[in-house]
Amino acid sequence: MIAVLGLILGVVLGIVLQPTIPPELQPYLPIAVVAALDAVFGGFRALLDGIFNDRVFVISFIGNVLVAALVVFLGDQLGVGAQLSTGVVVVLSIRIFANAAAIRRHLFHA
Amino acid sequence: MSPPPDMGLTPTRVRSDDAMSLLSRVVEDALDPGYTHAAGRSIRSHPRSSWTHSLALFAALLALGALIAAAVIQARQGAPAAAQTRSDLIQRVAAATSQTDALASTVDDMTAQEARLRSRALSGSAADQQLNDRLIALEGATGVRSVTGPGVEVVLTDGPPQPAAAGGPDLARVLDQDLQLTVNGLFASGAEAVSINGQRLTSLTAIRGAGDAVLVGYRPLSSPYVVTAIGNPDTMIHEFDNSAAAAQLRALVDNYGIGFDVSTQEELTLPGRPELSLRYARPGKAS
Repeated sequence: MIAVLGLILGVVLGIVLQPTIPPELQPYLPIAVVAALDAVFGGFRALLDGIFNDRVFVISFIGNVLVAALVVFLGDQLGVGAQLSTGVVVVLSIRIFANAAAIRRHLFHA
Repeated sequence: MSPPPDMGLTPTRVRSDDAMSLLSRVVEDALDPGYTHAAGRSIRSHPRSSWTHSLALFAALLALGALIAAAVIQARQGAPAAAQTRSDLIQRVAAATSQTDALASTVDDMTAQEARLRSRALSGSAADQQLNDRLIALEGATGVRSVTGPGVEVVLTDGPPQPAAAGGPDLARVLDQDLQLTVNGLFASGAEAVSINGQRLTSLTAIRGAGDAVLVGYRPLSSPYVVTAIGNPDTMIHEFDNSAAAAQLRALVDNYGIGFDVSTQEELTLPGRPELSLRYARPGKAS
């Protein structure tokens, strides 16, 4: 409940405040969002599995975002930023799909 | 691929060493191993959540919402900005092109005026008259002045489009080197003045390709390419027909379907190219 509330409030805050992201951080924003989504799907699946843990969720959330941004940043420094971004997005979206499949099994038993 | 070190979190998982192990690991490990680990531990130790944990969860999802909103707004603002930049650039190119055209017509006007004034100034004595005639002859030969006369017209047209070889140009198109070949062949056959689509060739005019366009004197031209050459039509068409250039062009016709048509013309008018200036060469002493 508190999670859904936080999500809605966050979207509203983002739309209302329209935070300006510094140009040097802009390339990492979409990657950070995908990484965060991965953490959220993981958390939701854990919730349905009955093993949800706030601490693990928050740490995996922050860790995911930071690591994804760091990997892309390193790739940018090495000149393979675009390729590494693709790699990160592919791996994270495979995870998201796997977790979404597990969630679907839980919710619809299908 | 060697198996990664065991992290002690999911010791029961079977590892396969085949090529797909990386992908299957990603799918199998989709759930963060921390959850199972913590679940096993929390039964033994502290209660699962407190209000600080709930607050952290709230903050994390707040951050997620803000992140998504910011990313979406960013992406929405980015796309029109790119289109805006593009149309700005197109406008600037169009403005610069029309300015160039206006300046070129000014140059043409002033050149004509200068020629008129010079003819008037050099109409006095017989020596002046001779000098004027010599100037006019030189201007015609170098390509500064427009010239008329009989000659040959070669028309080259693009063939039917072909799937381009990887990275290379579409070979069914008339390329810069085809035009260079034609022009060189015409000069070798006795042409005295040559122009392509109304662009007069001087000793300083380049024919080169830039992307999909053929530039003649930095003017982008497109098919059909009409190469007009003034000279003795009968000998010129005969010699050009037997030249290596014509043989190569016929091979292009056979292989790529390029249009190649040669005809004699009774009367051709080739424009001049006024912006002919030497930057380093100085005229030598007349012998």
